[in-house]
Amino acid sequence: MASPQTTQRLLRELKEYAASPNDALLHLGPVTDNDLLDWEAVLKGVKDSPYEGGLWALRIRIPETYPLTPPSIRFTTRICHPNIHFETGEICLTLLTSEHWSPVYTLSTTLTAVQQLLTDPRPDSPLNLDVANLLRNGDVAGWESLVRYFTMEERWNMN
Amino acid sequence: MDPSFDLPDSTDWLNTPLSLLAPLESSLRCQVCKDFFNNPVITSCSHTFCSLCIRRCLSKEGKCPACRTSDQELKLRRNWAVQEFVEAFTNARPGVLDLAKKAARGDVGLEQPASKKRKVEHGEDRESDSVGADGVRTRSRSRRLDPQPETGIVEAVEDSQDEDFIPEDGLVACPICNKRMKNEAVFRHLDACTGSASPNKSRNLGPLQVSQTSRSPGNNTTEKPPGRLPTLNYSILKEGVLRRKLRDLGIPDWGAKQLLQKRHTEWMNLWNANCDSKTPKSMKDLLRELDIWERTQGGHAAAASAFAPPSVMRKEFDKEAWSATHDDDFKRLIAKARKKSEEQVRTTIPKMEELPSESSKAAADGPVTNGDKPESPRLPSAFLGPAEVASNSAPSLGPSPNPEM
Ligand SMILES: [Zn+2]
Ligand SMILES: [Zn+2]
Ligand SMILES: [Zn+2]
Repeated sequence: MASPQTTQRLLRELKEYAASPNDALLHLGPVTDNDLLDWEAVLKGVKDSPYEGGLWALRIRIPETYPLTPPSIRFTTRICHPNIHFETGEICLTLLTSEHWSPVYTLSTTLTAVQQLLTDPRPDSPLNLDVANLLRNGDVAGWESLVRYFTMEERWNMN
Repeated sequence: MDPSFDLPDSTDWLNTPLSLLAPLESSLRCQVCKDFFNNPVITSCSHTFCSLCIRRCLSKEGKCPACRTSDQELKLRRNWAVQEFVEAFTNARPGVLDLAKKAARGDVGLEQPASKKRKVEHGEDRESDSVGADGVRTRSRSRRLDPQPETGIVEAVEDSQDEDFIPEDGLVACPICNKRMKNEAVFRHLDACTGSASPNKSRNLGPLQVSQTSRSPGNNTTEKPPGRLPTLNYSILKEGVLRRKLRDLGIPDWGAKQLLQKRHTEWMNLWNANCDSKTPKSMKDLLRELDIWERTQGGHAAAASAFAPPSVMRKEFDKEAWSATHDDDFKRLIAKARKKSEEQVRTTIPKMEELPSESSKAAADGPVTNGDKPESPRLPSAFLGPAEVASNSAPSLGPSPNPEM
């Protein structure tokens, strides 16, 4: 069971998101009505980037100690990005590490950061070596077309 | 939102003529718990949080959650102005919100915040009419007229200055019955204290109030409740010593050393935050809060069920009652949020299908309310980068064993 302070905080986030949604997201909320510690989100691709038009589902596990400790977030839709594992969906983002996490981040702002990561790849700390190597070798065109392909190919849809 | 679900927050002002109050209310809420500041304290980097929230953060990471300045456990100070502001605002809130909602429905005339002149008139009306606001003003005024005029020194709450608070007789008073005793004895006494005297609640005899009184000359004999708990260097404490320490504090002493540490830290935070309160809670209430912690994050939490707890400790916190009162509320809220989100998805998806040429339009779709967005802490760009630690170590960062994912 989540602690009262964690529950309160998550309910506030939920209400705030409902009243004031995030442009980066198509959806954010608990997966079921019964578990407030298990959320899902659908992220939108950034306009004017190779990810434009993409939709990816993410799964968010929230620890009992949230917001003192970071949520664990991974893509469940496959995405082609040097810092995101193609198969497991694991994301390499500093603010998701306990060292750099801050309790002032919300799930919504954190997902905004994930969206920003899409347009700001760091091939030097790769989780997807193949994609990272394209970038490291300066093959931006090759990278972009690969990204575009998978963005459309894997695009999340409701069913 | 569903009016039957009452979780007041700053978004309540959106879509009313008083939408500009949303950011105002946001600024009166703690960024950690999102609730109104409760016993607000200010850090050395000048950020304000609830006393308990920032204490928990600092024991976890040692850094300010807002700006990541480190090294400040001992420098928290009460923020009286913010506390009064929160009290005044929350007193006025229901009435003003009610008015704003009526106005939004067209029941009452309340101009959109276009005309400044009009707004000023409203402000004046409220001041003279509002009983609530007057009550608050009176109260805060009388507090300022209390024994001590502003001296600007002793609002200070420094854990490092605990020694300064110890009165000359070396004794302290039980915050419940006021009986004087040795500092070490208070914790045990509190456990058994019947609290019959239930004193001075009206006089706000919290530790801080006491420290203020001590400013007045000749008042040195005023009772003082036990001081703040110092941090312990757990690494140099043997398990047995730590266990005895917990027993002396009057809190459960079972479990392995790591759990003892966690429990001591939580207790210290609860205790010290209570010292920042104008109306401190009783030892009993604090123990109840510790028990809630025990159930949700401590030795009784699901993950830690290996620790065998004495069953006597179970009865204090009524978990079922707590979930029963909250479950319905949050299920309703969750259901509503999901429904709304689904609608959003449905309306967005068709447009997205005209991809890729039309995609840019769709991405910008949806209710864009950034202008009114109440809480959107800027993410420091330095933290947006991928984790450096992960470099070349992808295998070790494998997926966490979570079956649902
Ligand atoms: Zn707080
Ligand atoms: Zn700060
Ligand atoms: Zn002052």
